[in-house]
Amino acid sequence: MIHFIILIIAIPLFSAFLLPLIGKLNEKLMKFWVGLTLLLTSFLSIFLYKLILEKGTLAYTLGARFPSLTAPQGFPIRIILIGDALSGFLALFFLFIVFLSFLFSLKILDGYHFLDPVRSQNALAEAQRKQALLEISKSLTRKTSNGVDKFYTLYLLLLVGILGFLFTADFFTLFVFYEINSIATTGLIAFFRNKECFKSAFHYLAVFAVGSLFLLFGVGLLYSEYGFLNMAIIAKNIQFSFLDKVALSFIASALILKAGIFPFYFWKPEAYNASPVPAVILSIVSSLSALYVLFRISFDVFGLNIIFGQILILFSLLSIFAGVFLALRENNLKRILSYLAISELGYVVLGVSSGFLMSNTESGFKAIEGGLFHMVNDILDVGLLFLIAGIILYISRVRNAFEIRGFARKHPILAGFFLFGVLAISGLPPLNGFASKMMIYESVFHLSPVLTIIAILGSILVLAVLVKIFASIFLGAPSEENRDYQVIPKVVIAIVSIFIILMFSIGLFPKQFVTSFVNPAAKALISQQNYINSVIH
Amino acid sequence: MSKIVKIVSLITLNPIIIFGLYIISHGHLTPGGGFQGGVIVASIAILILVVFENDINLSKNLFSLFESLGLIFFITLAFLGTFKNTFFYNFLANKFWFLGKTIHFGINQGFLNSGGVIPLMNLAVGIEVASALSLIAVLIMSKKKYD
Amino acid sequence: MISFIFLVTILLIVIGTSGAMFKRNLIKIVMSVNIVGAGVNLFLIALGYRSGGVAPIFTNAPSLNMVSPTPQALILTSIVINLAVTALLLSLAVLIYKEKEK
Repeated sequence: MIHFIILIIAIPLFSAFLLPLIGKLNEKLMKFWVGLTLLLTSFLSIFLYKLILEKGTLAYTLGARFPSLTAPQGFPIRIILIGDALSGFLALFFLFIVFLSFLFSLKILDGYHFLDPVRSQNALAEAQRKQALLEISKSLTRKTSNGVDKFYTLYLLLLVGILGFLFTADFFTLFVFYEINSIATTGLIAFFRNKECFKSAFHYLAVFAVGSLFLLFGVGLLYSEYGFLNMAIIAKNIQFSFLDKVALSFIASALILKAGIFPFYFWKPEAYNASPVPAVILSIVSSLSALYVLFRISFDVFGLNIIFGQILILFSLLSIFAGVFLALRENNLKRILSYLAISELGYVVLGVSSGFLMSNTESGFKAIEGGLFHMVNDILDVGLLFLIAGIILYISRVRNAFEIRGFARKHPILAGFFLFGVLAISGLPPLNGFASKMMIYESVFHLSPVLTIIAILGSILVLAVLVKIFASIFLGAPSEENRDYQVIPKVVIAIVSIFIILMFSIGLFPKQFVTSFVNPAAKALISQQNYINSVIH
Repeated sequence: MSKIVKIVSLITLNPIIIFGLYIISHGHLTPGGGFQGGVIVASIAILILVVFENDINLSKNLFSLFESLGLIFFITLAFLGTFKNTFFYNFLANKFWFLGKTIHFGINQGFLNSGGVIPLMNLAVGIEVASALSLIAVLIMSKKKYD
Repeated sequence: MISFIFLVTILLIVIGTSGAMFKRNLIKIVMSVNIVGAGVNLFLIALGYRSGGVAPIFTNAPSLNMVSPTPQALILTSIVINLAVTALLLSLAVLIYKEKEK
């Protein structure tokens, strides 16, 4: 009996529980322990993905050998975890990104832009500002239990929540992991202890507490009808009655809230502004895993329904536009990037939900493949832009990043990387954004040409917003008062260049990537009978 | 608070602890269990903080240590059944002399010696919840500058 | 004729959600979240009711006609999580207040 699925979830959980004790002893030991855990989990996910590609969908029962043990009629009543090609692939990729952002967080936790914004040319004020910076840097690296060990504990707990979302097969464990995600993310948002971050964390947690209670309400409605909480049994017995539609709307709205697309995207800008950059990358990964659960429920549990697919397409188009138009009004670099993240998630939902409507046709399958491929490209592109934003804020310590001019004179490599990120997000060849967006444009055209036109317009407007950022921060002549306060560590340049290498290699060889990774994943998503058969023999 | 309140609260501390431990340990027979008993034990910390008006130093490190120990105990019990059967396998039920007496389906008068791993998990959760809630109470109600 | 208890559940959820959306005072937002939690828990308990049933515990039970115990397990987890969320929200409110008065 192979225990890989549960070990992937249990090992980060165990090390998250041990981390406060180790953090009291020694700080270097704690960072080494977290890195070791992440490496071990990544290797386990590689083995798991190979096993899934050999043997098909795996189902693992907690507490017994077979799912139907000790049930009178032979129905599964235990908690089951299911891993198939899509969740194995996403787990592998997300763990890789999480490991890279952990390496980033060892050197850079960018809280310095919450300081007093006055940058005067007076020498006395400059000396006072340096003193305040020194105190804040001391408080961020203190060895007592208020510092960095809380960050890594919350980091590992959020990773456990993400992996639980990817492997769950049960509505109740979905609720529990939803709550773990919300609580861990508020801890990460409130990490820099000033009033703005506390307010953002409070509003985030109030919104998500209500959202998870709506999820529980929908799950209770489903339980009252069918008597089981297991996704496979409900998929087998479902009749699409009125109560089912109400339950689907409650569950889908809780998942749309977590994913952050229209109409529930209002928590994203303040949450992404207030949290450190590694936590932002982890939040984007958790939004993608919530989208995965939404697709899993709509394809495999509730079956194909026309109205739900049309509503999802409408939401995706509106989120593409909301992301771009609202980004034009903002003045803060991290907020603009969070609106672009909303826009890219709209592309993912557009691809998969148009494949939902055009099911059993070839262009429908291609649309689903394009949407799933765009998940990978989205985290690479938006993650790269956020990493570079974190580096900029760490080096120059301004409150508003648009006060910097001429960054490209001192750091031409970073400017080149940012330019590659801009080109990748707006879908220009030969980068990876082009491949996935081309698949989405071509296959959505068969559903309705208007959708393709709107999607292309969205890409062009994203390019416009990013060119404005690039021109105002990077180009121009550098002014005297923008000095560097820190040096960029070499590890950080290596991490950013790994992102760039991945972007180029996926962009130059998209066919190999799609046929080896995305194709089995899309096949595993659309076959409902395969999902049910893995649990009930 | 006056002297009467202080002395009476110190006297009623003992029955509260014993009642909380009773609810934790009989969790597999009567309503209750780890979380409910843990909250009862945590209310002692709130009682002391209110009566002595934050003039007393409850050590945060001890509570943090017990919280971690409770969680580690829970997850170790979950791991112990893994390599013979599956994760969370109840390896003490119906087999061992300690907690594994076999009980048949139906109404009985409640045997404490049954249940397998469940009473041990109740104990772990009880320790963890009690220390975590006491820690939260100490941090919210402390009058010193937030550290 | 819909049973009365489900109407009370919907009323609690609507009151709680509208309170969490429209109120500005932080403590009132926390109380509204608690009201929504109470409504959802009440809904789940009311699902498991069998008429004439007793509590689903085998120790010294009067009869074998018991209410369904599965929703009770769901609510237990939900109450624990709501307690943790309330504690976190209140400590964040205390921290906001302490930062304000500096």
